[in-house]
Amino acid sequence: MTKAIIALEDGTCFEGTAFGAEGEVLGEVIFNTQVVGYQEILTDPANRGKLVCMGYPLIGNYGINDRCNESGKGQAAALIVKENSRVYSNWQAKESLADFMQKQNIVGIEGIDTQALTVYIRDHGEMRGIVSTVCFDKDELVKKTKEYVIPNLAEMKSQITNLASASRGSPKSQTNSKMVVINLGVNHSTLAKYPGGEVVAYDTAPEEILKNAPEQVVISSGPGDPTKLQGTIDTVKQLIGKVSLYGIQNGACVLALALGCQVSKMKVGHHGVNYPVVDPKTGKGEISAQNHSFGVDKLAAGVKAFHVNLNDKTIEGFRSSDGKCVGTLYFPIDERSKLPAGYQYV
Amino acid sequence: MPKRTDIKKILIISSGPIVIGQACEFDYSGSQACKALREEGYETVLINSNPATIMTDPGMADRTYIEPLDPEFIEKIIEKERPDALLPTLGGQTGLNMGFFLSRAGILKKYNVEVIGANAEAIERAEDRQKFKDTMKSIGLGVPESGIATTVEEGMALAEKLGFPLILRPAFTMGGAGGSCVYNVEELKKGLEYALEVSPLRQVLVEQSVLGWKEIEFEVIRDCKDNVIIVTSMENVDPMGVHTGDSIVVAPAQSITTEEFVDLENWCKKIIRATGIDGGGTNIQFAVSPVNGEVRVIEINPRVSRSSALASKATGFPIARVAAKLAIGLSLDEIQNQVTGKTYTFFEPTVDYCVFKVCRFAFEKFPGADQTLTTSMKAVGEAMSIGRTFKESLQKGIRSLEYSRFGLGADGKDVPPELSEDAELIKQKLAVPGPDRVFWIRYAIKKDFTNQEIYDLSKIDVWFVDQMRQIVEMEIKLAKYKLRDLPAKLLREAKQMGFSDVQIGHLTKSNELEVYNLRKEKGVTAVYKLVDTCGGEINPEKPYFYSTYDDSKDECRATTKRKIMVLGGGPNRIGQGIEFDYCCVHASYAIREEGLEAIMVNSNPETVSTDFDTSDRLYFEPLTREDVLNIVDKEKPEGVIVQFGGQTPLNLARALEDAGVPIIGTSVDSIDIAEDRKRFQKLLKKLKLTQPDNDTATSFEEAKQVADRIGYPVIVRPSYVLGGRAMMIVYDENDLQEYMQKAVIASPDRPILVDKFLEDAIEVDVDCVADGKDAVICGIMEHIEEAGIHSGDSACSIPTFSLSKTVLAEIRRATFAMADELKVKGLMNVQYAVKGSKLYVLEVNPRASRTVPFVAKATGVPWAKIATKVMLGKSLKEQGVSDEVVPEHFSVKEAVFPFNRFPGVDPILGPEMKSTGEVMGIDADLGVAYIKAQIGAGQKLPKEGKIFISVNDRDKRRIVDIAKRFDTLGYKIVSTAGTGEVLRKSGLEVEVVAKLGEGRPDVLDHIKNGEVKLIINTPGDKKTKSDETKIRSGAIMHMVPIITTLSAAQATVSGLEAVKKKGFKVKALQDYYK
Repeated sequence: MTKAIIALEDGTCFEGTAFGAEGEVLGEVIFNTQVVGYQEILTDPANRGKLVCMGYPLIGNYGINDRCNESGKGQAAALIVKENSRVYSNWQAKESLADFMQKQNIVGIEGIDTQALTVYIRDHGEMRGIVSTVCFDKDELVKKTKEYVIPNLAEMKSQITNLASASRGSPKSQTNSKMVVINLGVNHSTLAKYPGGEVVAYDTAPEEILKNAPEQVVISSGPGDPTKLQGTIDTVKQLIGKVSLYGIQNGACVLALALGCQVSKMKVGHHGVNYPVVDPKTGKGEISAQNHSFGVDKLAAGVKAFHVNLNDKTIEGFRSSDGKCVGTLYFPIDERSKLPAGYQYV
Repeated sequence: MPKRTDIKKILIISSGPIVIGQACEFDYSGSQACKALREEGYETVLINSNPATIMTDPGMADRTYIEPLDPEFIEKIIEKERPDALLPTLGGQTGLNMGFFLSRAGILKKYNVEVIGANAEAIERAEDRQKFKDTMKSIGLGVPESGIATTVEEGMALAEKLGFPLILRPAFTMGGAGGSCVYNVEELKKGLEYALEVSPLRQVLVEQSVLGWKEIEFEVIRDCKDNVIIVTSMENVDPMGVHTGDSIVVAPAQSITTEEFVDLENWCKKIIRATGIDGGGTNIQFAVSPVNGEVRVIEINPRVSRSSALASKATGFPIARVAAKLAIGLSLDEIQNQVTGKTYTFFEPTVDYCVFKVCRFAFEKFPGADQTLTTSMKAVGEAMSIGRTFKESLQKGIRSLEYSRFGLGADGKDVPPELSEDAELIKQKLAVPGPDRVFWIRYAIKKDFTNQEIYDLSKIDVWFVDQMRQIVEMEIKLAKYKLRDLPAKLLREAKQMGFSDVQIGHLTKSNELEVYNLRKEKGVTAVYKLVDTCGGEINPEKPYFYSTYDDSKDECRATTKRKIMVLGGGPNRIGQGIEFDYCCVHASYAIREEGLEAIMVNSNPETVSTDFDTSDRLYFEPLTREDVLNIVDKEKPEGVIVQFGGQTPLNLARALEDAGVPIIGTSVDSIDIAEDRKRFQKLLKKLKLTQPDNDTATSFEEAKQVADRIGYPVIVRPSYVLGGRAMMIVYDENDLQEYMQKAVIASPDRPILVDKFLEDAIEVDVDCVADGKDAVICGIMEHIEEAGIHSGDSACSIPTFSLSKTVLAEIRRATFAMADELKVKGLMNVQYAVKGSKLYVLEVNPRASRTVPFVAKATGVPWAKIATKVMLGKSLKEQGVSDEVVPEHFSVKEAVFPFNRFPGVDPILGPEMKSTGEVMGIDADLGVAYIKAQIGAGQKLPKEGKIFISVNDRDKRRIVDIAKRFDTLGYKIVSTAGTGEVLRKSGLEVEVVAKLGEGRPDVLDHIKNGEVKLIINTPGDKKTKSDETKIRSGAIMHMVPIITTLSAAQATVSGLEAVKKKGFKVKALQDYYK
């Protein structure tokens, strides 16, 4: 059993044992409250470079299958768990979590009191951290975290645009020229909702996007700080009014910024599958999946919130006055939610 | 949506007595509902026949009716109270059925009562087997291939089409009652006959079995805005084929992928929408193929249930409270999540721990019962455990069951090697699910069975099996050390896997206490984590706690305020159930009323005591010495109450006191005096009280000598037991020898007690409260059945009806003298026998007894609260309690039995307790109160028709008068030759039928054909026993009411006479106490 350690930038450390890949990785520490979903979490480009702490203690139970990937490869830098299951059991499983992580070069640390780490992050905010299976000098590790600069999308570009073809039942063959997806780190779940949509890079020019006269442009979710995507924000500004726009999570932040709204980093982001988003007027809504650390603080004139988070009252869904720009800080999962042709909420 | 203002008064139908399949979870749900509705300003009317409930406390509802749950009585209540709405979804299957039938019969329409919580159409779509199938098909969801049968022939025809094995599911029954899994035509025919009989609609679903598939359940809630949430998933460790109530259940589900999860959750949402539930919850059970993920929906329950109570306790999300609020028009986003204190109920709880539900069985009470677990529930109770890992939670769960097992084996209680190492036996035990299968998995692992082999035999998922293997591997590691050499790191790892100090002590050839001390020395101590509904995302205001052994953060929130700890009763079992939980809850209420903090420790998820807001802090923990001491170490309460939770905390009292824990109330020494024969005899002698001649014995020889001296019949039993476990009346030496050989392990410190049995004596139960100076009688109960029937199984009445003033005075004098001598501080229960005018003391228990809630309901006085305040130092005088209350009306308690779950078991009563629950009948007339209790207990007493009477020789003389009175009431008497002749001689017209084996049609045929409406059959000697067993058990299976004692027969005929004269009236408790 190899020793492993996680250190936070404020000096807090937890010790455990290594599984998956070994090594040393820096990143932002987030906690996720989902019970299942570790495979999606590891492969979602929105988690690029993150050190993900799973609050639920038993991870790896159903192994890894080839249907749950959110992209073609591992994206998170490290997975922090209480207990990694040494066996897996599910008819779809192809390999163990540890083997997958080893192949995808994701460092794992188990034996951590992830409940304590979760509560710590909840109380002190998301922060930088380091997971190491090679260096156990706490001062050294903490120093490294302080020097670490969270990369922006441009720096991660080469890593996240690498989208695998295999996604959940989305036939890649047929193209749907009516739909363009601006890729800030799009995941398969989004693509599956837009079968055949054209995927373009985040720095694609507006003319190029509008070339085939799409009916809708989707700005995907993704990692990093959306306020730093000035190029994309400018592009989206130019698209406003010309095509209907839908932004998801970081994509929604970009859209919000393009509309003149305020966006900032949350103390603790939303990472889980149990967030209630409701119409502030009626209280009707749905339970949603979320994975974002940036939020929309203040809406510009003419932009209205159609969904707020019932519990912390943050803005979760907004719409421009003409209804052509819609953003959600969540990924809709209710059986009745439908993404294509614009997210409909009246 | 704002709550509805067009309804003001709401009738809540609850579930009645505790039976297998319907236990105190409905007291928990109903109490929550009553509180929730009153909070919103509605007037509530409650009907429940079960007096041992918190919900029937007069303060819980505005109008409380302890009346039989029977349409006739409910209609009377509706007529009197004129409620605007009826909430039928909080009283289990009973409540739902009542609501459905009242609606069907047009009664609700007649009185303009609206059904809320689930409309009649939704109930029908969920419960009616055909409509359910159609609804599921309409949303494209698979159900197992099946057909509906309303006759045996239809069922047989279906079987030809579907093939075996088949599952039979009667419509509108609960706990899988009447259901079975059949493998051949013979079993099918038998199964169909029974299933049709028990279904109120005579409708049975004949279903292709999905045996061995994963069984996964969800709790789903939908409000009037169409907001839908999933409260939690639960996975049965035992796969399809074992009733979920008998299965080990883990929450959340462990072995399905995200995609499968999301698919199932979306099915749940579709189902609840298609069913039309728009202000309530439902439980949904799926079968999922372990081979290809195929999904079938098995059934849904559009109401709160045992599973919803478990889901509530497992997540901190109070489903019943929320369901009640949804029923009156509120929506999920408007109801506060009180655990976090800052969020709303429109959200899906998530957990950062693993929860187990494990089942407690009572097969030892029913010799001859088939112990195979099938689709008809057999468990009598359950415990819930919480841990950070599967392994920790499983082992905590097993020790919570209080079978004196302290984890997954390795506790010195395993079966001998010749069994545990028998590969063939292991295979059989894995393949045929029984109550102890989990231990056989351990034996299999130790015998080198692979995970796959164990799966192949048991269909228990490999993941679960491997978790148990890890426990066994740790066990093997630990066994290599002597305790002193055990590295702290390994010790902590073992604790994180849930190993108890007892197990570690056993494995390291040491003992529990030494392990406990070593742990403290090495700093391997428990920390407490939270049940907070949100997986740590929000800092909660009112969480509850579980222990674990992570070495980082302790979330324990012990305060420095004055506080008292109450030890609960653990899982329900026969002899220890809801009555004790009632007392614990009252203790907590009283402590808080006095301005102190109440700390509750319990492991039973069905109870009110484990509701999140009953106490200031709740610890969901096993009730073992170790687990309780861990909490005491953190909380440091100024007192611990052990006298309310039944035998469970009482058994811990000595060990806790030795560890320096301050036990308040009656001293541990006094408890010991009452339990220790010799010391108790000395006390009686001093007080000049008499007990039946008795002695102790540790061998047959000794027992024989005692019996010869005091004369047969004698009652024999082990010491320190509850509910008369292994207690028997022995009439001769042969029986005595048999008893001493097979039934009992006697030891010098735990001898066998041998008592003279007083034939034909009247038994009397007395509850009293004392403060060390004064004592007050709470109630004197006269039993209907004569002495010799366990007091828990006997009907009894408050006030007494045949005892003379002199005897009553003597009873009071004796009770006060004993309370004084034992320095009782709190409650005390005494059982007396009165023979002629002579009073015998049978038993004294210086603790809360099973009868405390019944007495409280009969007298209108909260005795458990008063007793608690006494323990806190407030004298009876200070509380203004000075006089015994002798009510003018009669309250009759009757026991309810689980015999219908154990085909073939003889339903006779004796000194060993067998009932699971109780009901109360209340009326100005004793006879009417008795009949109400009978109806409440489910005895369908006929208004006319044939009564079969067959009694033993001793009863023949006395049966004549009873038979005559039945005859006068217009019943026809049927009898066997012996009893028939006696009756004929006295001038009665009697139809004689053949005994078994003396030609057909015989008695059993008459029962099966439904010709006999009531059976009076008192047990004879051994020669006639097997025939009688067939008759009595046949009656149970065909739901013919049966009376097995002459005194009960007498009470019944008197009652029927009274009812004929006066009819039934209903009256609220609040009106009795005015």
